[in-house]
Amino acid sequence: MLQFAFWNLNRRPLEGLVRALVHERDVDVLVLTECSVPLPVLLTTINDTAERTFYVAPGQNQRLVILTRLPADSIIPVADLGGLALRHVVPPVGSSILLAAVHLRSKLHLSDDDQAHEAMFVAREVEAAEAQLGHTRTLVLGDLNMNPFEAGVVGSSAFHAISARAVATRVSRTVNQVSRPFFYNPSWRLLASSGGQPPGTYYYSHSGAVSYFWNTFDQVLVRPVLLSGFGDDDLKLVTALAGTSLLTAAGIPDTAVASDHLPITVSIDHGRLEEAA
Amino acid sequence: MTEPSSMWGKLPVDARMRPPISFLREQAAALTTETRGLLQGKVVTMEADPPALQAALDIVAPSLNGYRVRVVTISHGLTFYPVLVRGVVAGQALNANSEAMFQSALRTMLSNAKVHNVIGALISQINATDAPSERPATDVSPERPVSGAEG
Repeated sequence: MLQFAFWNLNRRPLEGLVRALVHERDVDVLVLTECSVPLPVLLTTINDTAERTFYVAPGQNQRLVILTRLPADSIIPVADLGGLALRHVVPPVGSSILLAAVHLRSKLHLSDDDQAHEAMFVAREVEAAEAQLGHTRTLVLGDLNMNPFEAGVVGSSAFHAISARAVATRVSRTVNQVSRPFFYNPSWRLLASSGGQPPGTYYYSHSGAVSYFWNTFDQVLVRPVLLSGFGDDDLKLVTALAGTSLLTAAGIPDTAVASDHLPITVSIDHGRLEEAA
Repeated sequence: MTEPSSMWGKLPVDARMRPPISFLREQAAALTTETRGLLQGKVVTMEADPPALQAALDIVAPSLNGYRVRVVTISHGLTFYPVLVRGVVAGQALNANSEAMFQSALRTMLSNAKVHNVIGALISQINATDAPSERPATDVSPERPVSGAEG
C-alpha cells in the first residue's frame, strides 16, 4: 500500500502539524505547496524520533515540495513544469506509479476560461509523461484551484476527470474524432457534508451572487488502470492532527491554527495493481 | 474606368518584427552550445486558439532520463506584442509591449540566480552519474531500470 498526502500550507509555519500528518496517516509520499518552512526545519521536525527518515525527493520544482520515506531512488524526476511536478514513483515491490503533483494557478489571477485552458496544457504534459514511461498508472494529486465540476477538470480536452467510476473504467471516449483518456475523480465525494466532515477542502465566502462557500480545490484524479488498487474510501479528508482540530468552532478551516486548506490523503494498493496487470 | 485608389493607407510591408518564439529558439540553442550538450534547450509549442500562441522554453537533461525543467513560458495573440512572459523558475511575470522589452525580460529571467542554480544542479548530477560511487543518495537515477513500464 502506498500512502500519499497533499497539503497547501498557505505559507504558515505548520511543521509540527505536517509531522503529525505523515506519522498519524502513515504517509509514504508527501506533497506540499505554499510551503514557507525552510526544508531543514521541516525535515528535522518530521524526522525527530521517526523510525523511517523522510527526505526531499529529487527534482527542481519551485512551487511543490515532495518528501518521501521510500528507499532512495524510489522517486525519479520526470519533469518540473511550474505548477506541475511529474515523478515516477518506483517502490521496492509492486507496480510503479506516475505521480503528477499539481498546484495550478489561483482564481485570483485567472478567469475560469484561463484555468480551463491551463488545465488542458497540464493534461497534455501528463499524457506525454505517460507515453514516455509507457504506462498510465497515473495519480494527479494537488491543488487544482478548480472545483471537480469545472470545465478544466471535467472537460475532455483537459483532465477529463469524471465522477462516475463505472464510466471511467471505459478508459477513454472519442470526442470530435479524438480519443481522450478518462480520469476517475473520487474528489466529488468531498463536495457534500458527510459523517460530520466539511463539504470541501477550502472555504471562501464572498458577496457575489454565486458563492459556493466550500470548494474542493484539493483533489486526487486516478487513471482507470489504478482502480483495482483504489477504493472510494481510500481518499480521506483530514480535519484533525495531533489532537488538534484544523477547523474553527464554526466548522471552517482555522487559519490561526493551521492552513486555509485541509489536507487530503490517498492510498493505492500497488500490490493489487501488479496482480491485476 | 479609373483604378480604385487604395484605402489601406501606408502598409507596413517592410515590417521585420521577430516573433517572440524565435528568441526562445535562439536561447534554446545557446543553452545546448554553452553546456556542451550536457543540457539541451527545447521549445515546446502548446496548443492555443490560432493565431494566439503559447510556448515554453524547457531545459532537458538527456542523460537524466530526459528530465525536463520549464524555465519560461510566453503567450501572445496575433500581433506578437504585447507578450506575456513568465519566468517559471524565477517566479516572475511581465507583459512586454515591444521586442526590446521582451528581450530585456527574457535576459533577466534566464540569467536569474535560481535558473543558474537549477542548471548547476543538473550538471552536477550529470557529472556525478559518471562517477557512481560519489552519487548522493537523493540524486536522480538515470541508470535505474524503469520497472513496470510495460503498461
